[in-house]
Amino acid sequence: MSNNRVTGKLLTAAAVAALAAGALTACGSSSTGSSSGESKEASSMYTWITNENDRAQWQAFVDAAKKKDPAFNLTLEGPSFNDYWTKVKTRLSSSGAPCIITTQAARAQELKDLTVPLDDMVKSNNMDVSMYNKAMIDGLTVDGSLRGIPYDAEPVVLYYNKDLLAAAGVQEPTTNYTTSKFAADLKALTKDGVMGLAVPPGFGSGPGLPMAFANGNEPVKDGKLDLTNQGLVKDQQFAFDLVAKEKLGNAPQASDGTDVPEQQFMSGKAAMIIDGPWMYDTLTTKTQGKVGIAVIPSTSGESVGMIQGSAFAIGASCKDKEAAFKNIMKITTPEVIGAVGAARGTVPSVESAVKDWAGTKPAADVAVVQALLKSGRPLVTTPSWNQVETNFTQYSGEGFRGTKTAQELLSTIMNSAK
Amino acid sequence: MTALPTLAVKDGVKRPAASSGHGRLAVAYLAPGMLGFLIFIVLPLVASLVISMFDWPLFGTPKFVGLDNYIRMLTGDPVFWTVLGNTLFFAVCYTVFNLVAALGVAVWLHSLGSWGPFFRVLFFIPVVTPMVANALVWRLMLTDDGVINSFLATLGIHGPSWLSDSGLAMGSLIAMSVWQGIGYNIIVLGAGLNAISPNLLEAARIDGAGAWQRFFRVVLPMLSPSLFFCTVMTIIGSFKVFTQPYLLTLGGPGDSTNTIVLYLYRNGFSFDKLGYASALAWALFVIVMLITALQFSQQKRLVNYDN
Amino acid sequence: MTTETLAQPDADKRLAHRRRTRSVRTRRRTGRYISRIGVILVGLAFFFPFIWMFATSLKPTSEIFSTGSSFLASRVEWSNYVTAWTAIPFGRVIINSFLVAVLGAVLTTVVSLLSAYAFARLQFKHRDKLFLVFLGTLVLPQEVLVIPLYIMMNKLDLVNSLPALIVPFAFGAFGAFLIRQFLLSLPVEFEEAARIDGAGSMRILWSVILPLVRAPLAVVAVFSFIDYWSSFLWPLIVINDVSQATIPLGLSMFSGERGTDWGPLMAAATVAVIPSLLVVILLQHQLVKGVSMGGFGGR
Repeated sequence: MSNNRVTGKLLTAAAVAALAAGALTACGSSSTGSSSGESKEASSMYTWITNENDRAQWQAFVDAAKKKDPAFNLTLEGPSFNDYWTKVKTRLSSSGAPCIITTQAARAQELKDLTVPLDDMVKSNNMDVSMYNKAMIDGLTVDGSLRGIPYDAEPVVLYYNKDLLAAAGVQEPTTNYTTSKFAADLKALTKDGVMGLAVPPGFGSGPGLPMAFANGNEPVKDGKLDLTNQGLVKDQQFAFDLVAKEKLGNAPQASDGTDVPEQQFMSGKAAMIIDGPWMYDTLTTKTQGKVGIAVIPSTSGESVGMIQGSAFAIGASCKDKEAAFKNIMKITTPEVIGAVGAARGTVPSVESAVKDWAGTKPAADVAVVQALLKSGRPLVTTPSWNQVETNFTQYSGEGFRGTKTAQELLSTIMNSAK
Repeated sequence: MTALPTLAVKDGVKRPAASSGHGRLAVAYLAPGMLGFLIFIVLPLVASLVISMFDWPLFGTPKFVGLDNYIRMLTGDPVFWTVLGNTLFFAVCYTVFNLVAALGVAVWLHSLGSWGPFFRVLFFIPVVTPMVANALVWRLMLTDDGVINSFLATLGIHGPSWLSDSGLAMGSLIAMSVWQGIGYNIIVLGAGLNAISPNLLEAARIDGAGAWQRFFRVVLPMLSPSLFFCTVMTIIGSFKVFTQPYLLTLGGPGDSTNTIVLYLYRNGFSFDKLGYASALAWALFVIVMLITALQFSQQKRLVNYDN
Repeated sequence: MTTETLAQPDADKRLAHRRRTRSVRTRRRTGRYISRIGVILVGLAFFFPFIWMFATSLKPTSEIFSTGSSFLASRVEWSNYVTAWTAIPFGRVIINSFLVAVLGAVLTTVVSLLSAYAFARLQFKHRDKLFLVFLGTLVLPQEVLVIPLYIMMNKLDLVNSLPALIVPFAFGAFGAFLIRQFLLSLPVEFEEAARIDGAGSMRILWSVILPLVRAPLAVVAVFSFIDYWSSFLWPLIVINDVSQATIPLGLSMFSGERGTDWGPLMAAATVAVIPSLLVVILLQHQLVKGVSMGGFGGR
């Protein structure tokens, strides 16, 4: 017997295996689209695309941009919305990363190392930034430079079920709504198995933060987390008390997301819900009963809008930034933004396009959104915002059950998310 | 086959005395396995110790911080101790419930004769279905207006909030996990029961031992190798719990269901602190190794190997 | 024992014994019926989550949280299955899952066989010590390694690729351990005979050992298949795009900016469970044998 020969054979086998693994590797990474030219990356976008709604939204952008430039196209890749804020960091640190990424005003600080300043390109391409919603532009400005071109500007609103309000003899709220009236209305609405308010567990999506905004209290001051300022704590406690003390809504559980409260509202088990205008079409068409919207209640009745919105940005690893910017310009013209607003219900970030979104919507509803757009402030955050949101969702159950106060919860979160 | 669960390393078999040894041949055979072992197990284990000394973001340049991450973990981060306590609580409760229930069911199925194997396989199904799918349907079932509370309501009971009451959430996770994992131990213990000779039990019966006595004096000692194996593997497995809290409770309410792997994952990949997450990983590693060593040191005392 | 009992006539004793066994038998029989009815009920309750998963997969998303304990919603929504298929590229996700699980199982089995053969049959220095160290990985939680492995995959530019899902977890000790134990229980005579006939060690491994170790090989293959099939944490970390996702990760991707499609999600979960059910039904012997041989465990 010859051990050498066998060893040789085995080594050959090992080499073949290694080659096979290499080939596998190559085909694996090529499928992420790394090898070919830069123009491909300049026209590819990393975003949230795993859901039918999300897909339809991005398709609407491409379709609208094609009207002007039939050759226009965008290659899309990405994870689900929930994973996006984590994944975008890992995606941009690997090769072949798309040049265009989606961001939000509320995440602009968190993603500041991933995005490049756009100011020079805005200037050299003669782009008129002043036409976009001022709050969104403020929100997207990090350390004095603009990091994204917004396509929507969505002030959070209060939805109510007109049928349930009529049945309880509650007057429909409009562009002026005080918190004391709000609490009294919720009390009148809570009966016969119907809850006054449907409550999600999140921070930005929950009732506390929009009500704080309505009163002019914000979670960030001078670029630092300021979760324990008296105003914010008081407003968050007010939201907790509505559920824990007054029992005007069901205490949410952490995994509810916005789905469970939205379904409570749509099935007529809750009379009101605080949610974004991006849910307008869904909530008005799928709810049992007619739906109207109002401003977020505030102490004085005059409400400051909390504006959330998304934008397109250029990834720091992009090699052909100019080409990427040209593509972003094509999908952020007032025409495209208006067309997407009309098709998908996103509130346009350009004032002249808001009429496309308004379409056949009732004038009262449009007036509410427009009022909030005017008064609105962006939700500006800090780099640790992902942690703030995660922790708040995890902890809010205790607040809505009354076992912890807003002061305790918010200071815990602030300490761990420094 | 039953000798396997002893995790014995020394074999009793005399090997042919090879005069020269098979050094080069062995190298060739071992190359793939040992290279993989070095690259994908040993190297990462060492690397994670190095990473834990850095402030290491997902995107950007790492910064050396010495032992700061460990100092913060042990003294500055109350959540770490909560998370550690939760994980230990989960591990102990899950292992005890799992083993007691698995033993009960295994004995029950053993007494069923020809029906036994079918149900053994039925109980095994959740072990092989993806945990994510299992957790998602449990999340629906346990929601406040879900099927379980609706069923209780027809009995006139107002069901609690299984996932958002801080006193119950961990219990719900344990229940779901026992459902998911019990089938595995039922099969191991069932095989152990099959290996006990009926003559032995008959002899005990003739000696006048009652059913309980037979169980505690004969069956349990004979099963002890299988039981020991189940305990070791179940405890190790329970320290890895991640998917259940990630999907069912998100670690909440408060930190009541936050576990060490969930906290590790979030610190690394959501909060952008890979260095701190590596320190947590080493804490997990040390704890699992300590517990395993403790178990094996007690092995001789607890396990009866002379069949 | 007293003299009276000893003096009792044999016939009497036998009669008493028979009577007693008869009553014991009837009692046992009723006991068995109760036991069987009990096990059916417990089995049904145990299987209920899967029934509920299927029932939910036929409900419209907007009613899933409001139907309570009813199996049916206002209508039967078969289109959830269609939506599940198109919303995320679910066909692609299923193919990914199969590719990863099959290739992973093959790689694990081959590597394990080679190592097991060396540890069981070859003589070399420090063999038992090396094996002991290797065996230590049986109790090492993989979760400890995910961060360095992620950084490694990133440096190798393998993030978001199927090889990154397969390769790092093919080198555990379980397979080698299982096959080695089995090999040790086999007599060496066959190999000796083959060697005398002039066969090289590769030949011996291929034509003598391989047929003998089919059983443990099948066990290793089945269990690593299941392990790859169900893995969630690692894909969640290393995959960035839905087109490279495996089924568990795909299931977690049914949530979008505007909420989660619970109906299609449950449809996808039902589809994801079916291959596992098939594995259990078709390969129950391997599974039972594998587990009782001390297969991987405690998940």
